[in-house]
Amino acid sequence: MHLGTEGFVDHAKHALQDAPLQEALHLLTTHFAPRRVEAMAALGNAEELRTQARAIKEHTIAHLDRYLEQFVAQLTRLGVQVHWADDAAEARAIITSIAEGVNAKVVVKGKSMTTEEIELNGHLEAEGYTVVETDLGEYIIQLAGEAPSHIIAPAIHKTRKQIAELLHDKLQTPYTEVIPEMTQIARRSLRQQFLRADVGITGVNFAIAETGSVVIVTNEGNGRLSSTMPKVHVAVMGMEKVIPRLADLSVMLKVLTNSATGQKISSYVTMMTGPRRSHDLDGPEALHVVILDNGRTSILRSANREALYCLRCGACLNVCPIYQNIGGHAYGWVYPGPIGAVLTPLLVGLEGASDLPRASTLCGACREACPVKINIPHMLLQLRQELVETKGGSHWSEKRLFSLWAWMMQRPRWYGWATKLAALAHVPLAREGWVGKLPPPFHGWTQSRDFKAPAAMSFRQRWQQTLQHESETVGEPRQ
Amino acid sequence: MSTQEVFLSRIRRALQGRADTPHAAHGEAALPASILESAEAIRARLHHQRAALVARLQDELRAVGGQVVWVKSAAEATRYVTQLAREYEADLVVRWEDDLLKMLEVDAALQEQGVEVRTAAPPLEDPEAMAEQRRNLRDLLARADIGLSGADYVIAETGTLALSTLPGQMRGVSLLPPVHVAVVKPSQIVGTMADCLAMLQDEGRADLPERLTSCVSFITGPSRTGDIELSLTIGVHGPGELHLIILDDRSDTES
Repeated sequence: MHLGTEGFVDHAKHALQDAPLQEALHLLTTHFAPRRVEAMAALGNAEELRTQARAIKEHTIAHLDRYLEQFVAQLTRLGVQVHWADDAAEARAIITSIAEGVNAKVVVKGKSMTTEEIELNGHLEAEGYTVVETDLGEYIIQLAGEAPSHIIAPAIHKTRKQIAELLHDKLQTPYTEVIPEMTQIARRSLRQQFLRADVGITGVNFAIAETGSVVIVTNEGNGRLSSTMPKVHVAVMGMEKVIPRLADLSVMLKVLTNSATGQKISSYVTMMTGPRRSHDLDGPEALHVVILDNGRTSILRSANREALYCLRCGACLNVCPIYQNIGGHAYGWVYPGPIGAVLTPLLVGLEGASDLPRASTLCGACREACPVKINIPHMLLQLRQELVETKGGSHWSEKRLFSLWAWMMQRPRWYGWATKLAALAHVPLAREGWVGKLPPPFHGWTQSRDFKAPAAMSFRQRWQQTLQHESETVGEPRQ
Repeated sequence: MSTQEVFLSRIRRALQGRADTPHAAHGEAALPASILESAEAIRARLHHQRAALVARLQDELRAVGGQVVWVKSAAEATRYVTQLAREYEADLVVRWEDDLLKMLEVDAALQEQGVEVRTAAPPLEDPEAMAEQRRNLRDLLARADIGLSGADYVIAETGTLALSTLPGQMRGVSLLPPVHVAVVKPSQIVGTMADCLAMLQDEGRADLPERLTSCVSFITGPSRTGDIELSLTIGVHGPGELHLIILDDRSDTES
């Protein structure tokens, strides 16, 4: 597995120096986040919808075995071929053998994070298949040989100029920086692939247990074409994608698209129930559904179960002060941002991704933005705790410092003296209220950020004064 | 490869093993109640809101770049389609087998101005002929200039068309040609996605999975992307133009 998760700090430093990336990230944050806020406000009942969506996910995941069983029973009845994959390798083997079974040459793909997770493209290509990503963003980064940097805007890290050069270079088409022209170039090139392809692979946004339907949400139509034109459609889903009833779809769709792009609904929502029927003139003659575990059962078992409620809308990325500054690649794996900082260690193991749970200010913006109210900060703290416990605890000096702190917190007089002393000690170090460099052993704190100098008057002092002042003006002691 | 038994029993163990973990406070919220309205009840409820629904539908669909026209007669609808064909210099129109479209007699009008019109009524019995039809359809759709369809429902709240596949009503008509035109009656307008799903659920007589056809496409405006510098661009893979014709010729018994 290709993991860049251990290089987080270096990647983040590079990202901060990357001018085009910074420009793109600025664009992103000023685009998606306010749209989501506006769209949710316009709904009028966003809070109620989030509560309902959360309840649907909570309930389904708590009875996941039952709903998967129901879903698969319906699929089987409809003539869909169901495959169970314990891990990425099994999923890849299943998909490869499906392609082999129909003598496929060209495989087209709709946008899917799950197939990124199992690193499908490289393996199919190694087996000799031509694999074509058809989502415009995914197509661009495939041409560039890069990984997606955002869940729903995979090529957000590339500028228009870079993309223009890429298309000109790789497709030998006339150079243009006009976005609609670039889009038409991609349309023409990809349309040929759609018509040639033998197998279409897509992800799944929702799997409806009651009906055996697979639902795909796209804006471009890549999901529709990938699931309509080739004779075989393979839908790859994480096992957590199931929802109980057809009626639940309206709630889930609303929170998903409003959170992701601020759209009331995306251009295309495609609900497929079985392969084409005998009287249908188009649609795939065979439909395969691959249900993937790949570490999800261990999340189910853990205290971080709610990570499985994630709809992959990307809202938490857009509001995260860390993501806003470093972008997606620094996280080192397919799922970036706050939810990635949780999912990656849970799916690939904490040892390989120990920096990620620390890559957060715990400000809580992600939780506020989440359409299913996932408490990401809580899970990050839990992972940090686990890190401390498994890595044999923190440095002795840190432990000593905190036990001293605890001792002082229990002795108000000592605490008062210590804060006064600290304030005095900062006077020669501070410049305009900030300390740029602390002396050892505290220098680590100021390595990458300034330290706010303690106020001249401490809170306790001010509190005392306020009490005194009030008792003087009101003329009687407060109750 | 894993099996259903192995896979699901692992999940069961994980769900049961939950009590051993220190933070066992996972929610197990009950499903929100889903009040299943009958198609009948929805129609009765929406009947009185018709004017508001139409206004909302127009606003929403226009906001996402779709065109909405309200016509009073079949002749007017036909004129709109032939006008479009002229505008786009269309050579080939592929259309659904659909009663409403047949009633418009749009074929003759288009042919009169030199536009080829193709439909595909599937020969159900003969698999050979069926395979032939399918191949032909692919070629036709790949070069069609306009796709002409009906729709099952139109959702006012979001400006969304819901199209179910049926014999002669192909997915590709609303997907491959650069222009998609859909014709509906006012009685097909519903308020919300929830209404639409309830209608789909109640419509048929058979069990639910059979009631849903192999594909229901919910279409809201033209195909779009923001993948290059988040700049909204129309017509990536699907049609770059979507026209909805609402035919209110008072023949609509339900409205």
